[in-house]
Amino acid sequence: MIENILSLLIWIPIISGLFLLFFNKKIYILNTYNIFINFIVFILSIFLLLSFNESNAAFQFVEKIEWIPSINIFYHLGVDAISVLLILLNTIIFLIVSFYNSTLIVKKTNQYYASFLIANGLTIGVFSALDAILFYIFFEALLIPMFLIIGIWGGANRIYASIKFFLYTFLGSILLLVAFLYINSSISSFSVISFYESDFSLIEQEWLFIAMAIAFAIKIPMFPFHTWLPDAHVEAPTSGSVVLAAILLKVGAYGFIRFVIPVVPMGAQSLDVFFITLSLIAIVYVGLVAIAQNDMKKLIAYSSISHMGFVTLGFFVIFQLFDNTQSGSDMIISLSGSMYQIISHGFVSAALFMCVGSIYDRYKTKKISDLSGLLNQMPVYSWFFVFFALANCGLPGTSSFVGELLVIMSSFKANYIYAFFASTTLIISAVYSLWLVKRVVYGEVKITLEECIDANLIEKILLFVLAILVLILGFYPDYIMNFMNATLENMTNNIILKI
Amino acid sequence: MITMTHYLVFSALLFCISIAGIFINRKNILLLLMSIELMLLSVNTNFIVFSHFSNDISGQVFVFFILAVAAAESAIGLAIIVSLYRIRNSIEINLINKLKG
Amino acid sequence: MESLILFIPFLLLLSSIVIGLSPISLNNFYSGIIGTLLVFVSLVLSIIILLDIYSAEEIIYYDDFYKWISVGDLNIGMGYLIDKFSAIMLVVVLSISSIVHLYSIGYMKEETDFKRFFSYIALFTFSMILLVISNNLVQLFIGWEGVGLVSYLLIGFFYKKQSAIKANLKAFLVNRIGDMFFILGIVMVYAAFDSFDYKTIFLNLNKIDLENLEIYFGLSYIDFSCLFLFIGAMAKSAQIPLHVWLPDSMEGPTPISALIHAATMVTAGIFMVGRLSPLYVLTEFTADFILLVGASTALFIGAIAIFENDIKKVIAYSTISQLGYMVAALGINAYTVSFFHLYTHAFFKALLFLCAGSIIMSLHHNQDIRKMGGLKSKLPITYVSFMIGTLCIIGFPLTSGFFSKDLLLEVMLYENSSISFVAYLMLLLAALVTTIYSLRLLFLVFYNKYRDKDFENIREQSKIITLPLIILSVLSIISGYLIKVFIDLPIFMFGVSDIHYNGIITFIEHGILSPATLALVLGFYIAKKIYKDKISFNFIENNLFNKISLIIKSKYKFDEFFILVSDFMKSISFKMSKNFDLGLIDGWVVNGFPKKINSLAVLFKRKSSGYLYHYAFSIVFSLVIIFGIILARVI
Repeated sequence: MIENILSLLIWIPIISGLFLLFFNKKIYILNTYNIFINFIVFILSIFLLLSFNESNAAFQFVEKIEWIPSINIFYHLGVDAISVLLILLNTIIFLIVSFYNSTLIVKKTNQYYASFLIANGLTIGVFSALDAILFYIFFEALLIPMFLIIGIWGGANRIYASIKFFLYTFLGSILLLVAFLYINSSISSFSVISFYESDFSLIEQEWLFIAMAIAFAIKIPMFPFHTWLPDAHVEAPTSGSVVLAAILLKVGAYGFIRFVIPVVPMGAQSLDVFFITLSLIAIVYVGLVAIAQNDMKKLIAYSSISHMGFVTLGFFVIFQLFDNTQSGSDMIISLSGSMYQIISHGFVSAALFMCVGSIYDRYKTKKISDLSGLLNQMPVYSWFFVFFALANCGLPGTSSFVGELLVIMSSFKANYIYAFFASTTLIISAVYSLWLVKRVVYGEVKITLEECIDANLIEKILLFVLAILVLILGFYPDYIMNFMNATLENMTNNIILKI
Repeated sequence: MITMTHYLVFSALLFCISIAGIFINRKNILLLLMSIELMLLSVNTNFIVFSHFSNDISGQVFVFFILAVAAAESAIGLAIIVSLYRIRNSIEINLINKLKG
Repeated sequence: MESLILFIPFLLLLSSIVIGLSPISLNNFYSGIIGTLLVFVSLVLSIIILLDIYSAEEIIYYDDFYKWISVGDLNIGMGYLIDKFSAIMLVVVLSISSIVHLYSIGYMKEETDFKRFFSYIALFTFSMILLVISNNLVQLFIGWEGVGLVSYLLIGFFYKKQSAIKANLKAFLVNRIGDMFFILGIVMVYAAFDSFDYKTIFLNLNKIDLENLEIYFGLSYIDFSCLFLFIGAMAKSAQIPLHVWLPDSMEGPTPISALIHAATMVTAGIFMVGRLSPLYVLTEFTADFILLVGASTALFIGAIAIFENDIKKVIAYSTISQLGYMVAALGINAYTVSFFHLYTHAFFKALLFLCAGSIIMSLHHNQDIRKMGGLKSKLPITYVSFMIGTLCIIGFPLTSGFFSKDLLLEVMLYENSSISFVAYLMLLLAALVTTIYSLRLLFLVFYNKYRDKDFENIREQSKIITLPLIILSVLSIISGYLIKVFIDLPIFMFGVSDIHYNGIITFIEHGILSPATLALVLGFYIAKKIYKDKISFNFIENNLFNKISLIIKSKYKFDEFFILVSDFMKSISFKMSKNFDLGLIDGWVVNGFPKKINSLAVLFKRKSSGYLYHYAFSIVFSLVIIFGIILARVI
């Protein structure tokens, strides 16, 4: 089993999801089935984590089967530490979502659950594919369940949002495919490992970089490709938003660290100032835009974009860091900071969207101006909301601080101006998070519900688990840092060799 | 002596006449159908000519096929015209512009 | 002995978690007792550690509890660095905290959120301990933000009050402005020394060639990093212009004002500069900046207190003013003197706040001093304690404030530079101001006649309220006699050696004969005449005086300035959201692109007539052209 664990992780949820499409039974059976499958996947991913040898930087659990040999396409899977962590994040979030879904009443329940199960499998596929075309297929296929989740179970303006989401990301992935085909045409392989050994001229690398970076920049999303995200979040159902923020954005970030930076480092290096600038704009400008939002989901969506700016900043400062210090250590710190930010944001944003979703369930509004004094009516929820809002503004002791600190540190070593702009997030994120808290949670009650339901047991447990995860990651980040160390060291050594 | 060129010029003329028929005729859909038939016949003539001059019988075999298909086509075309006439009480081409954007 | 250190933060964290998450069935009173006991045990432990440190020569406890991060060459631990400096601070924080815990059992007994309150103050004490015992800058920052967080939560404790939730947001955001610079300062230090660890930083101070570091805008690298760190301290220790949050923070329950906004948290900035004193002695520009900020805060913000009518706000402004004294001492590198004032101030300021709390409770939440008066007879214990607190803050001879303030002024005078002389004069004037507003408060509250209804029903609070007052009164008086301990503290200090400290008697004689005593007497005379005897002076009618008092009453428009800035930022962000994000990027580019394609399609659609012969014609015509082109190519 251990040899095929990745295939199991991918195909168990997909096949059981497809099965669920033709399996419309009583709702509690569906709930049990859904939670059971997600739980199995979660256990498998824990197993993957435990049996992963983190001191070995090479890809592990490799599976390689001929698929379309005439054009060098293999069914090629394998993971390194980055993938393992993201797979784990993915399975945790999907397990939480499956529990959360069981508290909701939705139409076409079996199809709803099936979409999430399939999305779960496909995301694991994205994180473990070692063949560029296989990656591309998972990457694109992932759009389908998300498109359906937004388009069928979304809010009033769902058609617009889902089509915008689909077309926008699709536009980017076409460029990605072109880049892959170009690389294949010169090295006649689609394997990621041979991508890393490729040697392109500077001008080729620049073009490849632009093509791939746009694809992932849309997905992550970077300024100015970010406008699909707020719309998608606003219209998506709560669980969809959770998955979108916690997982889908990370696919973009994963693309950067798996394909863009190690494959075409020279191209990335020659355009790094441009991308750093975009990241800083994302941090400052998008943060300011977040302040102005009146829709809670939109506000959190903009804050996600702003936080993703830290991830890309951490990715792109490594070249200037190397120029300044000539040592790989600072690059590792920067990349670890970004990776940590990715993981941390997964939990924090998931929890925030769950809180907002539950408020919407009860009050039927997401508008900040309609709400006030939730603390009086649903204290448990409100305290969780305050906690995660504080985590969102990077309070030390929560996981978000670690990533921000490491990225600000690294960006200062690259150039003090970067650090200055990056550190404004301390103010901006506090303004949008806590102003939100002030208007929504504190104060006198505005809408009085006839029967006000505070968090039910499942919601309490889920939020509690997320809060504990955020705190553990904040107070003891060393485990994950150690876990990634060998992989990132190997990666930076490769990058240094190539630039 | 009648050479291949003569035949070809003849069939080309026939083709041009049929095209002119299509362009100029704006009234009767039956004439349109007949022009199309004429077009096919001109092509058939080419087949026969080439077949004759290259001593290959297969060209003439094809002509039979084409004639058969053309006959079937015109039968279907006539049927469509009849039902069109039933619906719209007219078969004037000027009135058939449902494809207008 | 070293293993005890871990217990101090651990017990507090335990207390916070147990009380915060305890089931509803746990009685309020018992949870208060549990919290108080745990913090008291921590206090005992810290005293043991302090005695242990003083029992031997040059003991420094230094280790990591655990590795927080180790990646690349970066190592950050969660640990402790206990020397004399932090051991004293530890005892000060824990003793104030345990007294406030005790006091709160009485003060908060009628609140429904009693347990939440106790959980918060335990969490606060935990964060403060984390800050005090930190052995690296990151841990310091974690504690730093932790205390800010709890302060935020506690100012907004009465979350239904609009003023409270405005004040807590303001407090957090103003602190965040400081934090932004603070983290930049931390990162600058890291970039220079490749470590966050105090030990590594201080040991490498001589090894690193400071001349070679970059220079920005004519200031050296160290100047800049110290300046940024100090801006963080300005927010936390409420220095001009980042002091605006502290008066508003009085929206929180009164014990909090005593613990957080007077005695401990606001002194974190002073503590931080003292901790990093080896860095700060290397700067000149930043030191002068610190000196001026401190001196002007002490004078100008102190002056506001004269015209303030809310009893808590008067004390809050006096806190800012006293913090200004400490900061000014930091500016001439007299860290131990500053720390000495911090230590005495912690006791008497906590005392003043707790007295204020007792008065407010007795008067059923009236905080307006214009409606008080004559409480001397009704609240005897509170009166005596308040009197002691006031005497301390005005530096009455033989009280603790006398020692610390006098030492501070002496040191300031002996520092030979024009800036420090200006600062000395400002601080002297501030001493006068301090005397006036403190005595004004005393006279208005306790003397003359009561100016509101229901005088008969006012009575002294229960023992659980008055006991802490008595303890603090005693501490306030005797704490000054430890002056020798502070002068001998082994942290960097300059200036003090010039005084030739020759024992306490000489010091007292010298202190009484100093200009500060003149300020004290003059202040007493003015305050007594105006506020007790109600005699109006001619100069009050004076035009110039009126103008000055108007400026002071307007609080120098700092609040208005911040409101202006925040409104400006808000309008910018709204405009950017509407015009740039939704208008330009989303409307014009993202949605504009498909719209363009759509309009193009409409254009082509119009071109199709629907007539068969048009289509046939265009087919044939195109074929002819294509064949023509091919033919032309072939030929």
